[in-house]
Amino acid sequence: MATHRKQRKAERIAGFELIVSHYESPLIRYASRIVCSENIAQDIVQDAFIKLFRKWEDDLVPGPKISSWLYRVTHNRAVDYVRKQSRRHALHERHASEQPEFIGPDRGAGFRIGEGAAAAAAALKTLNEREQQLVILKVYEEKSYNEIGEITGLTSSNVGYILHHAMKKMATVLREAKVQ
Amino acid sequence: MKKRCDNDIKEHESRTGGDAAEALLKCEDIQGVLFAYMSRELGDTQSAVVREHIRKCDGCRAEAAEIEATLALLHQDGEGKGVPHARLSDERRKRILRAVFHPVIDWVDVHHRAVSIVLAIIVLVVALFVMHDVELFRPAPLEERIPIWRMFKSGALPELVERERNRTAEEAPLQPKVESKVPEAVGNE
Repeated sequence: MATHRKQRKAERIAGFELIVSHYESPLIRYASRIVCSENIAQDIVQDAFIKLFRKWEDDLVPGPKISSWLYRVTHNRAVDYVRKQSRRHALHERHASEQPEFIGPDRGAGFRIGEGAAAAAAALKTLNEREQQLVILKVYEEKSYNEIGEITGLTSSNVGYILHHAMKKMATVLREAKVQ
Repeated sequence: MKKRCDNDIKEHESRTGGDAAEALLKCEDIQGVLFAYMSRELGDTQSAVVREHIRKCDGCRAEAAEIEATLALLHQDGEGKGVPHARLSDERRKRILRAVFHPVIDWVDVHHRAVSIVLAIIVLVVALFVMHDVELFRPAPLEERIPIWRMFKSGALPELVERERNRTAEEAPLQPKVESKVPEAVGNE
């Protein structure tokens, strides 16, 4: 009995390590985009993995169910963080003055983000919180409407509706900025 | 608003040559699902309808091009800001392993403030109980309370200590004296 339990625990730990190595990168990338800080994103993802090990009772095998669960936990924690920051009325000031702007990885001296891309990033910031999250999930994380629905708790048709309006808003902003 | 719609109908009629009102309604429907079409969220039949409509309608084609351009810019932005091979730092990996292998220690570490406060309260309560039972401290009657510096100065401290000792001895509960009752000798009778 004790041997069986030990074997099960060893299997869980092996599966858990596999899941961490499989999902850490996309989850950190996703959380970084929401909270605009890789350090905080790492904290959020770390907590998500710990919660997974404690709460997940089925086999720990990479798959769509675990993926959705991890994204949902990461999403909720990231959104909570952003809301707390907003509530303190410090988010914008800190982003403007104290915190350094989110810097991407070094891709060599030749790599530069074009003006259009910068304008797209600015247009993304004009959207409300929920629209931004959905655009990030759809465009950057390439999630389907169903997956986005599972992560955010919205229906697929609602996701489609919000995304449609978000894209139209962004297109308008870019048109006014004469980028397109 | 009506005038604008009429203009739209006329414009659309000139472009498509079909039934204007029906075509306009169709444009609205098509534009509502353009992003879903581009994200491959529509089924085969719906995608075919949208594709056919875009092929014929200049307005919807322009709208589609605009959304496509926005998507392309977003992807371009994503390439610059992405963290392609982000890994958890060693510290965080250690923290995860500790949470997995030693959940109790991890819990205490996470809630160390609450744990410290609770422990401090427990120590305080135990100390108070012990002090109460042992009577390490007993306040003197009010009239005898003299500042300690004055006691030292006047040299009255030993005398007071002696008085206190006598008082404690007096207040000690008297043990009932056990009187040895010698049974009267039977032989006296």
